[in-house]
Amino acid sequence: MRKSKHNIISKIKGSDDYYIVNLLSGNADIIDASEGEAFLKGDISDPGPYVEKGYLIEEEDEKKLYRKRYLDFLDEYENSELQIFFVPNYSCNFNCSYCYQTEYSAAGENYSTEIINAFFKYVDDNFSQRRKYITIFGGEPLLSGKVAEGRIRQLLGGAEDRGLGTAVVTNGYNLKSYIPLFTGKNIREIQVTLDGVGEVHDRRRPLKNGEATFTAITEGIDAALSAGFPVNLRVVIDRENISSLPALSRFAAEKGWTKNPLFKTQLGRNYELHTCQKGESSLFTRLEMYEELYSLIKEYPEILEFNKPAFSIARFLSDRGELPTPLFDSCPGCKNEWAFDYKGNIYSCTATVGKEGEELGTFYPEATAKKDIIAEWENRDVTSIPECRDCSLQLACGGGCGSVAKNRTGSLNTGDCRPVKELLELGISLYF
Amino acid sequence: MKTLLRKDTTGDKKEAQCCAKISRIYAGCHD
Repeated sequence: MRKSKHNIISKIKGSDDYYIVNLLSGNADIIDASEGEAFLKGDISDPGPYVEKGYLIEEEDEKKLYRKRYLDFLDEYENSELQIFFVPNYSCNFNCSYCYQTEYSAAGENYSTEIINAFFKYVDDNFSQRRKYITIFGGEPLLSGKVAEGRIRQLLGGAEDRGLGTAVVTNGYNLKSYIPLFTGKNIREIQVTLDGVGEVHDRRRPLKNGEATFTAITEGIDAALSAGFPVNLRVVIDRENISSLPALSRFAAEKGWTKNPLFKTQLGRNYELHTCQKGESSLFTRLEMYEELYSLIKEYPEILEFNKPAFSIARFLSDRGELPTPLFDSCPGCKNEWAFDYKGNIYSCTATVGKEGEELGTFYPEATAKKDIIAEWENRDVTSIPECRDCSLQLACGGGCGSVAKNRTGSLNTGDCRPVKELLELGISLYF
Repeated sequence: MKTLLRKDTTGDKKEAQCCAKISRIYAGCHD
């Protein structure tokens, strides 16, 4: 009997106790300091409970269990819903300080309805057996004017003809004026970004001409919720605006959003994609962001009414009282996510869509595919990434984002490691 | 040793699964 390769054990922040988590056996426990130290040293006086919970296991038994869980994961992944992004334009009415698409080309945006028809034909031809939905992405898809409106109408109509739901990712500036177009359509969710209240947001996400956008966006959110559309509010966080999170939380509560079952939030990190970042000093690492959130929540617990940060699997464990199934792959690219743009190109996901050199094929004027590269994306998981294979965190991390890993190392089949151990130190301290 | 698991999670699970599904729009795998 030996220690499981998948034990994650560390001291809980602000406590002498340890947590021990094992995604393979599905167990999570708190053990006191002396037990924790003894376990780490391998000096276990009563191994019974550790064996029962899979923290101690025979090597062969663990290999069998790993294989079984991997096959279950592949099965579930194959049957999961496919998210298909379409970018009707890369142009945008905003000039965000941290845009990762700044250098993307917005050429050829004066295109005919033929392109969107070809997109839906490709979906019919290639994904007929999969459950799926369409997500309209950009650039900013909800621009003002007849041309932009016409494209959104065509996309919503194409989805409706096939019985597919549609989600929209927008900066929210023109959302209010698009509500009549959405009415009666199967809109699954509208994602809007607010980075703070008033000037904090406006400094980061102004219009191209520098004008403020906060008020128009909040009116759009109100209009969407009143019309019965689910809103997912994204807040992009870095050093510049994290301290304003309590104010945004209070603002959302005062608006009545946080009590509305149609309203959800996500805290997004500002990240290292492509040409992103004019001022890199404001970037958080993933761990730094969570450390700041931990301190901020201790001081302003009302933030939790607005958003309960994940801290790896700590939120899941706290909310559901069980562990998630082992995550053999956290990158959906080319598996349950694809992205298409109006130029007729196909990409793996939202991180790569529009980036020169990342095209995986075309759907217009003809269907083509770079099969070798697609296979690389399809095969990437913790069993294929060399540095994941012996990592005890692999089943919580899932190998991270393929695009970030490729940006960093030049190779797709490398890891974008998540600081799981440290995040659990914080999250278990906060939620238990 | 004190478990962090709860036995009866049926109600929570239903709601949480629904939330998880609806939120996978721009999931920010790269966040």
